[in-house]
Amino acid sequence: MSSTEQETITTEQAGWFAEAFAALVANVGQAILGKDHVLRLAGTCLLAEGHLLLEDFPGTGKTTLARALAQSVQGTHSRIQFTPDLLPSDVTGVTIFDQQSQRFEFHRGPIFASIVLADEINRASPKTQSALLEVMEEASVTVDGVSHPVGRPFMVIATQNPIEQAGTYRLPEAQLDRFLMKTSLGHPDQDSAMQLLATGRPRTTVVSPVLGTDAVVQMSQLAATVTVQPSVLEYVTEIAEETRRTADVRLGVSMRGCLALVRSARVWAAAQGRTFVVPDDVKTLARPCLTHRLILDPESEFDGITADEVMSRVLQAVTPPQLSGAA
Amino acid sequence: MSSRQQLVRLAVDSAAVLALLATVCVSFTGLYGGGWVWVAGMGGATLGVLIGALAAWRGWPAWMVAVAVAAAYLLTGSALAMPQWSRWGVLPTAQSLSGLVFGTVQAWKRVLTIDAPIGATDNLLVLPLLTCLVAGVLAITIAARSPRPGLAWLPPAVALVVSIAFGVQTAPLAVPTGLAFVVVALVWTAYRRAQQRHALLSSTGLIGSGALRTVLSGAGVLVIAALVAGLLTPVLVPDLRQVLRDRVEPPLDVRQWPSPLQEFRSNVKDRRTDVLFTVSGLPDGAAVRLATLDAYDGITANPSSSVAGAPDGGRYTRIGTRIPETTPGTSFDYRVRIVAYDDRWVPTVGLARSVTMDGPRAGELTQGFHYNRATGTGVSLDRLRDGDSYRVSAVLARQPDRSELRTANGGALQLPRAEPIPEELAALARDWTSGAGSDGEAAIMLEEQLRRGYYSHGLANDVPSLSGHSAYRMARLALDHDGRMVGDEEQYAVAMALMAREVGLASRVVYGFRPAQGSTEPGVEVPVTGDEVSAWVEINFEGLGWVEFTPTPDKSRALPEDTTRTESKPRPQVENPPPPPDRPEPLPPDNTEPLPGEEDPEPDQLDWAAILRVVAMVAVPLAVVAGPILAVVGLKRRRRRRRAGRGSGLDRIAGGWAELLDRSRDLGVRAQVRATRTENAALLAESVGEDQLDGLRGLAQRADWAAFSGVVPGEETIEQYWHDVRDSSAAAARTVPWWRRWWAVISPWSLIRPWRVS
Repeated sequence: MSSTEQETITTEQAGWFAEAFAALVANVGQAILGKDHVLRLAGTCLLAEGHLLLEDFPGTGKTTLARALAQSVQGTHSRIQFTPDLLPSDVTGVTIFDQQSQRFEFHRGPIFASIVLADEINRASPKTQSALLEVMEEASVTVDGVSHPVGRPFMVIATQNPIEQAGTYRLPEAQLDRFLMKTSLGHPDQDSAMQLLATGRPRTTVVSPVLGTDAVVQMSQLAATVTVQPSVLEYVTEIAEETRRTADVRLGVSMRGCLALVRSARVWAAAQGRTFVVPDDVKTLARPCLTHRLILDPESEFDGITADEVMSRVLQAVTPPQLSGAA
Repeated sequence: MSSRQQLVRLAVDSAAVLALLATVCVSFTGLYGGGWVWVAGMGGATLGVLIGALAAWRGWPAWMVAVAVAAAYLLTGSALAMPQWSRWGVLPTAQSLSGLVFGTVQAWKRVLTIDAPIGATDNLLVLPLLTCLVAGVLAITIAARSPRPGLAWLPPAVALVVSIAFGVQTAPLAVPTGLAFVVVALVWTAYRRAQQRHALLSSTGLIGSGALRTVLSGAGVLVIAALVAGLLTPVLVPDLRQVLRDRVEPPLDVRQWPSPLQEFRSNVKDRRTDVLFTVSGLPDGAAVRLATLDAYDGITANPSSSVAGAPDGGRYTRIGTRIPETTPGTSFDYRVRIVAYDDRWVPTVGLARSVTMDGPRAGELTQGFHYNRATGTGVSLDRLRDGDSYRVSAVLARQPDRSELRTANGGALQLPRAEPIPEELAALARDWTSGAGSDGEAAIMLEEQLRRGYYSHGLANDVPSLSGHSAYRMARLALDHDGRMVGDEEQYAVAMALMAREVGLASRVVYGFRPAQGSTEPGVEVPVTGDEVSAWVEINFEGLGWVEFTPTPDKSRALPEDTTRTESKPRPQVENPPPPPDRPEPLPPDNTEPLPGEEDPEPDQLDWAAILRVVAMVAVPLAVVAGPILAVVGLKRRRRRRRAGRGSGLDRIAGGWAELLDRSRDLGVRAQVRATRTENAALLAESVGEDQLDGLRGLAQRADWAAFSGVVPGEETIEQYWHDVRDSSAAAARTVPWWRRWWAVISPWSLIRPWRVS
């Protein structure tokens, strides 16, 4: 199914998209039980060509989700365990002089994969983090003046532990902005926990690829053609402006954040078989796409106000559109 | 706080407010004399509490509360405060609504100027109704919605002060009432504070102390304090308290006294030669005025005072050292010394500029002297008697000559009613003035024609002539003696005044004395006897003011003897006319006895006026009740049609969704402005039933599709959408009780704040 040349997605294409998306989510859902919404967010992140930051307590299935998602796509995947002594070259690769060919050759690092699992990213030094984040932004590695594209699809799923602060390097806010979404899994519910305990084995072993890399790229291209009416775009900008107006926020949502939200909303709409974005899509995705981009006022933060609370207030303050707003 | 706790708190607040306002009603009872004041007061209090509670529950803004109070007042005020003017004692009528509206302004003053107990007449009960209604609303609003609920007792306290201020000096239950108020207010406030403390302790994890125990112990202390205060108060507090009515002087209503003109004939009959009073400084030809009578009710001519709708009748007020009289004329001073005269009407000449009482009773007379500037008439609350005297500085207005009068137009004044005018007189008036070129000429014609009559006091040696000036007597004036008029000043003056009214002139009768000659020489007192009693007419003309007319024939014009004998025989019943009542009440036209010659309406003729009255009595209350309902239903229908039929397909589908939300709002389910359609669908489903969630969500998604897909919906799609909206609305309506469904139909809320598609 080719859609690269057309302007907007058709209803049939949206239907195919929704089926493929549902298959992907169902496949990952074999490993992560009872977390359908988070899985849909992860899938949206993949098809919106963004990166996902999973922040959660140890043992909630962050790594399992990343591995299951990676295994669901028929491409390469790798895992980098971030440690304080990890060097940038350990992530991106290194240039070595080949005695036989008398040439410098570039040896690709683990970042060269379709889906990269960056485990406990906050344990690495800022220098190494920066190297990773540069690749995330530009989708290429530049070593000795030579640029090496990482290919498509390319998605980094980073995890971090919010409670262990000793020996960690908190990701700078500007770099958090590079992640399309930030979400958490949380503990499983009672039924899911019982199912997991009954099985007693790593559930990633049951996950097999359901989408090829070509299909992922094609879906990404289709999603980009989903219709977004001017009033919905205005809704997005109003949300961003409201975050900037809020007294508890020192730095509100950037333009990059708005773009990320619209991109995600397009995928989210197509995943439900729609050819157009509705305000519900924006409202649903605003939290995972925007919350981690808010920089709170230190005093408010000291008072215990969280970015989640601020975002809730913002969404309650902005009126969603009821009409297209087209002239 | 849970909704149950809120309900309990609201119930306690309501009970406390009602208890406080009950003490206000007790206080009002002394003023009104009990009875219906409780219905008005407690009815208003209950309404106020209900509106306040509803407003707190629904979060109404201030203006909406005000509208609700006004609506409740107008809709229920007739039954609560003016049942005698209401249809079946319940439904508002035009009269009761008018009384309620004007009562908000007038009742306060009227309550103060009527002697207590004032009873429940007219719109006097507006005062307790309005006081308790407003106090109830404010108290509940402060208790339930303000950050200082402890001050909720203030509005009832103000209401209590109002009831005391407008009340009477002696109130037997004043002390128990005040104590009851204080006890209820303190117990209530203590309870609210204990509740707050309990909530605070609970929220901080501490164990709450017993609120009930606190309240009970506080109440015990208060009861003891109340008993002690109750025992000491009679010793410490004076018997009479200061109230507003002590400071307010009621307007003098001279109609409480018999018409002075009724005494006319007794002057010539009983005091013909008696010197009633003397006047020194009286200009020659000037008349002494006793009373000016500009009202007529078919029995007597009366002086007007405080008659609604007749401002030109003037008022009787106390005067200071000077009267600002600016009428041009001849200034003069005179002095009156009372001899045998015994009445309240103070003899005056011209228009007074200052009145100074002399004699041993100068103080009393000054205190009781009232003067009507519009009529130039003085009244003393204490009857004048021998030995009283007073000095007056006055001005004698110039009287125009006949040539001036013939071109004058009648003045446009609002005088009291003067009716019924006997048809015989009215016909004569029209006949006599048919050729008049101006109002002045008409007045002259009337005067000249009347002066062609015959003079008689009807005494023993006179031609028979009835005394009095009732409508019957006036009709006889034109009929008896074969159409030749016989009477004296009393009859001729009243006849001309009525005839002048008939032809549209502002007229009034002046009763007084016309001394044979005056004298302005110092020290010369002109005696005034009963024989000099007189009455004349004043008619107002544009630019000329009040002009005197003397329609009475000369005293020498007596009817020939032979004619009188034949004329008097057929009508022996006129020999004993009924004496006039002491205090005549104005009779409604319907109760007036038919005048001789007046034809009864034909029995088979439809009485359109009566039919119209009945229709109005039914239609007005019906319109008051049904009008708003029909307006709401009509406006909703119009809105629905506009939404379904106007604009693009997108607008029509968005309008369908808005219609669904507005109908839900009328059912009591309010959608959120800042929620998406799907969220609102879930919100509605929570209230009307989860089984309707799919249907509602489907409607939301279809509206979103129309709004954001960029596809133009077809006519069939739109119609199907509206069909589904109607089905969904009907299904939602079925989930509420029948009375709620009907209320939703007439509920105006969705019209006041409709769902706007933006």
